[in-house]
Amino acid sequence: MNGNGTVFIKGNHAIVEAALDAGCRFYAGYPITPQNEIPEYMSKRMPEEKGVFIQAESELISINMVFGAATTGARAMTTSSSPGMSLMQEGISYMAGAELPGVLVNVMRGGPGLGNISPSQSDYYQAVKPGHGDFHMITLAPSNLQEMYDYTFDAFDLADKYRNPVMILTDGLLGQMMESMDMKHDRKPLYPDAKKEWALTGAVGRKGQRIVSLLMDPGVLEAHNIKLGKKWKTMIENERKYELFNVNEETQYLIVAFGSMARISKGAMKLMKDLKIGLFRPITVWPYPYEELKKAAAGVKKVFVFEMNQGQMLDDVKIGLEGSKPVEFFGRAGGGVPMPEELCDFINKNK
Amino acid sequence: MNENIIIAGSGGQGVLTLGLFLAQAGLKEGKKVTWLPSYGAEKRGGFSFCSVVISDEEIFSPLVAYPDTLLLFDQRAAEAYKNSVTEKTFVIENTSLIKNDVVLTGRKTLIPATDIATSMDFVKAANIVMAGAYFGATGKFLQTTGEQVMGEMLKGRNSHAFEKNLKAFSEGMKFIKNPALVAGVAFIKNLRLLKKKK
Repeated sequence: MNGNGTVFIKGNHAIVEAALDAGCRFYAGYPITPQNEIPEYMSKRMPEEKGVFIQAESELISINMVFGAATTGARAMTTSSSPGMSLMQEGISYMAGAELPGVLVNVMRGGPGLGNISPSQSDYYQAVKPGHGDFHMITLAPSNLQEMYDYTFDAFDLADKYRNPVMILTDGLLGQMMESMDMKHDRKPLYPDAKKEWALTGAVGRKGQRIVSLLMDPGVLEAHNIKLGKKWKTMIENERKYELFNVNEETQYLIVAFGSMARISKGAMKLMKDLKIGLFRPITVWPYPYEELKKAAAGVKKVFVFEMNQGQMLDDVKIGLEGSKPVEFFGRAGGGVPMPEELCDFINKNK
Repeated sequence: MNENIIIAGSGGQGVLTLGLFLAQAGLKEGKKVTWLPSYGAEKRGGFSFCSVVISDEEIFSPLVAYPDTLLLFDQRAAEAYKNSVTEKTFVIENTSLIKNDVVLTGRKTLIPATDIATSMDFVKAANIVMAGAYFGATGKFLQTTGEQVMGEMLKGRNSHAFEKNLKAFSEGMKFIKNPALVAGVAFIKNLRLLKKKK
């Protein structure tokens, strides 16, 4: 595709277009609903862009193929849904340990276990605290299809900037729905030709180098962890993103919600115009915009947290508020998706 | 305009495609649009529905609890959505497959969409007959918009497919304006088909 323009597109397809526009030329994945449109559409589009599409034999292999592609300096991606993402946790940790960039998309479904295939936000914990070892991963949670596209593109830039895996955390609702959005095929990746000196490109004319996550010499691993820790501090300083919606001096109640739940919350706010309700939406659910949340909640009577789980982001809201405001939680679980009317009822009963 | 639509029926009836069709008609007329399919382990014959929101303003929730317009394809769909209907809801029912009228409120339009499509030897187009009924009864979008969208959706197919769909669309519209005409034709043709089978 060339140029820009408005298109009517599925969320899962928007992710594919963004990845290709960002210069992703390696994709490995394994089928799982509700993200199947990503590999299906990618299998058609990636060869058109002369990249590599592989349907791997499992999610374990997919993430390790992305590890392999990333060592060569390629922009690489894998996508999955909740149970598949569990299988990838080891690979994410290895990538972070080896300081490799890469983009992962989790189109969440109901869990635990094999769960079901309905939209859910039940992987919040796993997304913001992934894998084993002392590392962090930037996680972006889009709320509409424009953001699915924009933030997937951003994810590739962020991954290269920090040499770290980056996750897009979305769900079956945004993956499956269609909406119009603006393509930005002309947008240039921030680090497209940046010479990745660390990449394994064949040691012709230079000394050989290696990429490992096994650091056995005394003190070396601790030093490496401290380096990763410093990187994390920079991410916190530079990459926190959030949206304030109808938040001003008169706001009496603050809703905190992310992703598709933030949209549904806005729908509820539209039905309750007589109440002064604002919305705080973390866009980077990791690093979490704690300070900004506390500031947004400063003048309100009460904070409502809405999630499609039984209260996972709730912990971060409480950390951010530091006990300064009363918090009420409403969640639907196991693939349950609330109507805006349900949120209105909850607010009316608990305001 | 703020039009919240639910379309419900069974897998294979073209429920999701009809949703896409209406969504794209909205887009063509400059509206904001969302289309949200049901997503169970659907297959032919399984319960299937979609929500379409068409609005002048930014759309927040793509979910619809109480539709402005409800298109029901069969009995199971009518049973599933009878409680989502308010007095303001405009209901279009496919009477070919809804024999037991369980939707007791709302403003209703009845059309034997499957019979009309069958009489054209094109039962697949029952959803397009329903689309015609929607266009004819609500007047929310121009007929020419519908025809244009249909052309775009069928791009690359043979011209035969386009003509047949166009016919189904206009039969749906015609039925709303003058039911006797279309129903009569459908009845006679069905009779002929029955005789053939014997």
